[in-house]
Amino acid sequence: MNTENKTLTTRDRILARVRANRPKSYKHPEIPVYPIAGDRIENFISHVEGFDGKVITAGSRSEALSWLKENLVPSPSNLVYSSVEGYIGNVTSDSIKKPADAEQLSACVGEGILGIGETGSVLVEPESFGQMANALLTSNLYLLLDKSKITDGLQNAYAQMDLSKIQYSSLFSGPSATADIEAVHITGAQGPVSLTVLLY
Amino acid sequence: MSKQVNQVKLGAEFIADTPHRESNDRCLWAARMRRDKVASTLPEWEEMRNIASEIKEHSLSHLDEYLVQFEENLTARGIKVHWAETACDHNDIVLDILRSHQVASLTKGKSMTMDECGMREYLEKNGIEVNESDLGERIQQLDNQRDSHIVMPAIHKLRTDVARIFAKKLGSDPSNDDPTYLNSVMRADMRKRYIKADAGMIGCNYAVAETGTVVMCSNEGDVDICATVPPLLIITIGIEKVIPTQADLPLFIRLLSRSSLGYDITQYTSHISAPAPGQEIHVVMLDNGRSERLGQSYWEVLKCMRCGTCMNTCPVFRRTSGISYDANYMGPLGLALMPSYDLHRYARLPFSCTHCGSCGDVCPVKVPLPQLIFYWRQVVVENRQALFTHTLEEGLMGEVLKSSTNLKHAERLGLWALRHTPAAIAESGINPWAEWHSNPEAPEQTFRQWFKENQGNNEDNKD
Repeated sequence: MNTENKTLTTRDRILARVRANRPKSYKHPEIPVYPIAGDRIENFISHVEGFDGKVITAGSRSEALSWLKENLVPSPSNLVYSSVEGYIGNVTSDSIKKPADAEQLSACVGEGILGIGETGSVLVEPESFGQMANALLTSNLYLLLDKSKITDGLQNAYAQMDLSKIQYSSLFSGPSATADIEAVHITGAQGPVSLTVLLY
Repeated sequence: MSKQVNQVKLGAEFIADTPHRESNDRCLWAARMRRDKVASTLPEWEEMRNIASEIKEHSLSHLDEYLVQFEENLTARGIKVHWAETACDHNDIVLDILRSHQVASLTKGKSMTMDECGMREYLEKNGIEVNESDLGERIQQLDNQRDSHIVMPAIHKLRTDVARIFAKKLGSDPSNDDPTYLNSVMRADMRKRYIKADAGMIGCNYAVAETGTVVMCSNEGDVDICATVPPLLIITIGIEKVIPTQADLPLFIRLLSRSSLGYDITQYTSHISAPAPGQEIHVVMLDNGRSERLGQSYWEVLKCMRCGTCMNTCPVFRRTSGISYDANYMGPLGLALMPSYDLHRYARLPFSCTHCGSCGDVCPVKVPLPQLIFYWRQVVVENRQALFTHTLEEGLMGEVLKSSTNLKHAERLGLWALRHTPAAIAESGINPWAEWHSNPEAPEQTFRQWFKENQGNNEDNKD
């Protein structure tokens, strides 16, 4: 190691080597936005179902909320967290002091920001659930989604996001799953075992 | 000097185990078939592969600029960025962070980059409890065995193997080998560990320079739990993972899971740009030879986005399993990459290839794997690391292919040898081919002789 290198930080040494070893310059290509065949809402529903998720189609937001009230009844043995206006759970942010406390949840209800027809994904952020752990450690996840917010494809969806402004966001595509044992597909790996999208 | 990995010998052991071989082949080929089916639904598929390759070429040829931009964006949002020149540096940085936070146990998502550093073993040796959170990776951890695939680490195992391991290590019912049951055992066990974990660790699929975002693609939900439940998060990123802009990202997402497993997307595609309230995030940027590789003729191997599709398609890999490569990166990727980590130890790997070219045909970012495998064969021979038979073969072929006259004589000599060498010699140990095959029947004449007789009157075909 020469004297000059001794005074450089690890970062500087790595960057200097990268700079010295750069291949000849390649231009950044143009990326076309590819059209997605089919109806975006039909695509969305079939993809969510393809990922073992469930879609409830409601005529309006209030109908979607009514469905929830009827089918997801909080009780001492069914602990529900909701960040959705118009549906009240029986667990509040006060009883979830730290992310790991979300382990107690049977169900979590949150707002989807947008949907993607190409993949059946729903974009969520921590604000959709109070905190991300609520949506990940719960057994059953319910997402409300305005169908006018479904885009055709991934490229269209990313064009609507600004990743520099978020803390965290995720595209949820069905409930958690694994195929690590003999490639047998199992729904309900380590995150939620079910995902229901309430489309209005 | 490290012992050379004998993939042929290890592979033969796996081949002899018919139930495991058949299952491994069936699972991987099914993934390859799904990949073809889903790719065929997108008319733009081949164009996307070209563009993804071009983005990677651009990123790597401006890597220093994008690394600085990525770092600046992370730092501005309160994420601490560390730089590691070697695997040892990486492990020391991680251990320092963990010790300064009095971490006793952590949960860790699957990361080939951390595995490359031998991080789990290092942390365990230093008293940290490391719990792999990916099901396949956890099976391999509990069985104290390397991954056999970069996406499906335990795909070479049968359900009966997993039942035995879980019964021994997690106390499950040894007679129940139903994968759904085994998954529920894993889920219940990991839930206890997530709750008490002091730290989470994850890898990264893409690092977006423009926005300072770490992108993770996974299926089980474990990566997101590791990233959001414990108060401390450490992310290891190989420096080649940086891509320029947010607009580049969906192109890669469209290619990744479709190539890897034949599905449109992974269950979770997650983005981290800042710590959550009360959370601390450290990012370790790992070099470990990458900056040197960038300046070599095989630099395009750095385009790889670790989808594993080259493994799913490889006829050698499917029959011999990833275990037989005894390497962190296996299959065609391993052949093209591992010799750059340790030429002597991995000198034999580039010869575990049938030259079918399928890996190059399916790679979503067009890493020229077949050419790189040829390149490493040459380097191995030039550096006198090859087996005697391979060196002899390369030396002889060098002479034979030097001129058309040499080739013509060699053809005749070969035919003569095929006719006249006694079987006891031709099919003995000096001819590795004959270990598994009989020599072909000797034809009456060489192809050149036949061609001359049958096509010789055609002026265009005269030599």
